[in-house]
Amino acid sequence: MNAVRAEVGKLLTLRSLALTLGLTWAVTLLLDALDPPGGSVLPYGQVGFLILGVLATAHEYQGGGQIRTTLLAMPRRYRLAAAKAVALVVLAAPAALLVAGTAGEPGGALSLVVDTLVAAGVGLLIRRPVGAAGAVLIAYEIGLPLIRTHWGEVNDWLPLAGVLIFAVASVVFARRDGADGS
Amino acid sequence: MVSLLDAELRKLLGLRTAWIGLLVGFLAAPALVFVSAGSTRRAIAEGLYTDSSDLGFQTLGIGVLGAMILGVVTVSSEYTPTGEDAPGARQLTTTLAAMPRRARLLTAKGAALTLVVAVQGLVTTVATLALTRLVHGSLVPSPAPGRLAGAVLYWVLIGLLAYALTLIFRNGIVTLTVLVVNTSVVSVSYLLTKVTSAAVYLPDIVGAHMFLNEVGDHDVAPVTAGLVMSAWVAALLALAGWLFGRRDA
Repeated sequence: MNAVRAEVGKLLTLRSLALTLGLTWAVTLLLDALDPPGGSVLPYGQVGFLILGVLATAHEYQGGGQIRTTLLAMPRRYRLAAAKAVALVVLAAPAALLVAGTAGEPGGALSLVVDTLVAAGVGLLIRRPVGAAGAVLIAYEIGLPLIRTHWGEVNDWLPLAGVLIFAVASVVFARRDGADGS
Repeated sequence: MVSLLDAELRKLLGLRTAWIGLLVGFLAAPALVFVSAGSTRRAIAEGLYTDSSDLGFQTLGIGVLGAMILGVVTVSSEYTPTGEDAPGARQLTTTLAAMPRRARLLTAKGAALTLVVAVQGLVTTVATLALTRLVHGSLVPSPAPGRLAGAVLYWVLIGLLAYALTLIFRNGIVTLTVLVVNTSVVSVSYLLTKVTSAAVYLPDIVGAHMFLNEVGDHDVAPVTAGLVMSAWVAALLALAGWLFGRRDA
């Protein structure tokens, strides 16, 4: 429980996360106000939650090596990874509700939380914010639409894939060097 | 200047992420020709394509991702801390110690990027168009050289756009997010063109008119499109250069 509290504390005090969420909400609000023809503005909010997820895990590998301190305080890595996931979901859920509500589709909040978790898994795997953000964005915004047009709908599989990606990331995280991001 | 260009080329090609950009750029568009061959053939048969000369060129849109990644990493790599133990030390510190004249440095960096991206753009465009002809045969008219040049120019300008934006934000994530999203089906620029027709002249939208006949609901002449996009990129580069010259590295 302490581990979750510590992770929540870290996420709450990071400026980049607050900035990402603020921008996400602002963009959703703005686009919704423009009322573009052709439907939902939720996909634009989704982008923000992907970045949020990536930063939530990858920020510890940025300069300064926060991850070393974290691992020193909490050496049990599976428990740490689980605490990270729980903390992220706890914080992302109300934000997702707010953004999805602003876009007029509160039902979409759940998928936003799943997307955040997927992105967090990729961030934990790649350990570099820019690289992980590029990978997640290309997969979601270019890869998935391509799969949808050529092989059909995949949305039902995303939650399962998300849990799987985070599980794989946790195993890799538990087994490899703690800090070396190079 | 030659040794400076050489140094910047080596730095760019020494980055692992730059090779990802190179591979994505080279492979994505030709691969898409194969992946979408079936559905494209069906679309042609159903008469959904009013202008089949756009076919190969449309696929190129996904390839410019490579140019974007290259434009971003050539700058973001300079701002990334070099080691876990010395978060204050960045590649840029060394770069500026070796080359304190910032305008020349930016010119050399931009030239190195342009060189790599132009080669990538040319090779990929030719390969993609050739593959499209191979897959669809006589359904696709042979591409006009002017449009091919337009596509390569678009490729280079997108790379330079990413370069300028990353210099302005000093952060790869912001640029990457903006540009990747605008390449995708949820493009903000494209959404704005539906709200106001002035958005047709946003750089990434207007540039596509250089080599595509049908972009959205508006028409812009290819030469106008090239000029407008070049003007955007030149203005952003000028702003980036001015900022880079003035503020703390």
